[in-house]
Amino acid sequence: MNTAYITSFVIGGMVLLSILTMNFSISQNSTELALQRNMKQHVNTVADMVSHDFAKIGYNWMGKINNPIQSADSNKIVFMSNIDNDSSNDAETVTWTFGTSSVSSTSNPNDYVLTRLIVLGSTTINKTDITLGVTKFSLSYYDTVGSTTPMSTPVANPEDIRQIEIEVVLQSKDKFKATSGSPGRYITSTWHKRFSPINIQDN
Amino acid sequence: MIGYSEVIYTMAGMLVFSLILLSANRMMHRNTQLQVEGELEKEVIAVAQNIIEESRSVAFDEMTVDGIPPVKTPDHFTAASIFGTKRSDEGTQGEDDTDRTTFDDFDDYDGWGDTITVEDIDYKLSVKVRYADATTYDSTSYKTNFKKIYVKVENKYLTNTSDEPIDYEFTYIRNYYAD
Repeated sequence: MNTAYITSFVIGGMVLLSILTMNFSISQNSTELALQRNMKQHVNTVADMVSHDFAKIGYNWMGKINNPIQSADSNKIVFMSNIDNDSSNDAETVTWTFGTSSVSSTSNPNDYVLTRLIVLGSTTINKTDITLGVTKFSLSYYDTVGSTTPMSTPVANPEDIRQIEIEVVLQSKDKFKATSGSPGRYITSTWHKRFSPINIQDN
Repeated sequence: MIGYSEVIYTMAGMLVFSLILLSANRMMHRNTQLQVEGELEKEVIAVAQNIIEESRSVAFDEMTVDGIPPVKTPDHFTAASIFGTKRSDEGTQGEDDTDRTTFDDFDDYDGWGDTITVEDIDYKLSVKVRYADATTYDSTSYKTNFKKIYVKVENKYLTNTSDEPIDYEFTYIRNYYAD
């Protein structure tokens, strides 16, 4: 065979391989983007739920509730709030707990169930288990607005809390693998927020 | 050249493919960049909201810190020229314009700035407070029952096409009578 044909075949083969590699890379990039977008939506969902509740700590129809935070730990908070804005002035007990049991429906061993529980008296109004891939739900408390030193947890005097800082980390259900041989990684998205609920301030 | 025209065609093909590859790489790089920017922008919003929420939790004006309304509003509120902690009584109360734990009213945040680190990423904050016109809500130098806070956030990874940091500015208008 002509040397020129052989050379052409070799170069052509290399081009073909490059096209295949490029196609694979674009496909992986698209997958990563889709997973990332998915994670952002999940983080936004959790952030919306948390923001809805935490901003209303101590709120009631006829005025704020005295000492609304009943207990405060690094993975659990219990507080009073008229969360449904009920005109009968009945305040619900709201509990956010980051559990220790891993979500069984995913292959990610790091995600746990985040639970939002609303109780009025002894009646459970609503219980929501959030299984969107929450791998961290960390709560820090501050006794002064703007302080950089968090209170030690569990907080001995919850009535002194003025700010609550939340860190939420979510990971994808499955690992993303850039190449077939790589160990892969979970797509992660985080959210930080420091709440200053008006009803637990001094004035 | 006889017999080598196929090689030339192949090399021309490679050139075209190289251009496509460059474009694809640029697209993937841009996608990754957008992902990172999206994460950072989310944090920029949260950091600004933290300061706005914090400023809402203190009194509207130094004259209302004790909870007693001034005799005449807005005339008895603090003059815009001494926003921040410039009032003489604020100095004696230990208020310090660099330490926001000492702030006790909304306009104390005027002139405050700091760098906040979240997940090893620095966010540079600067704040200004102005009176806002009751009709247009634009900032004014005369006293009104409205104050407007401007929170500016900068991050070195969030840049414009000239590679300069983008100023993300968030505003919030507070009404004395809606507190």
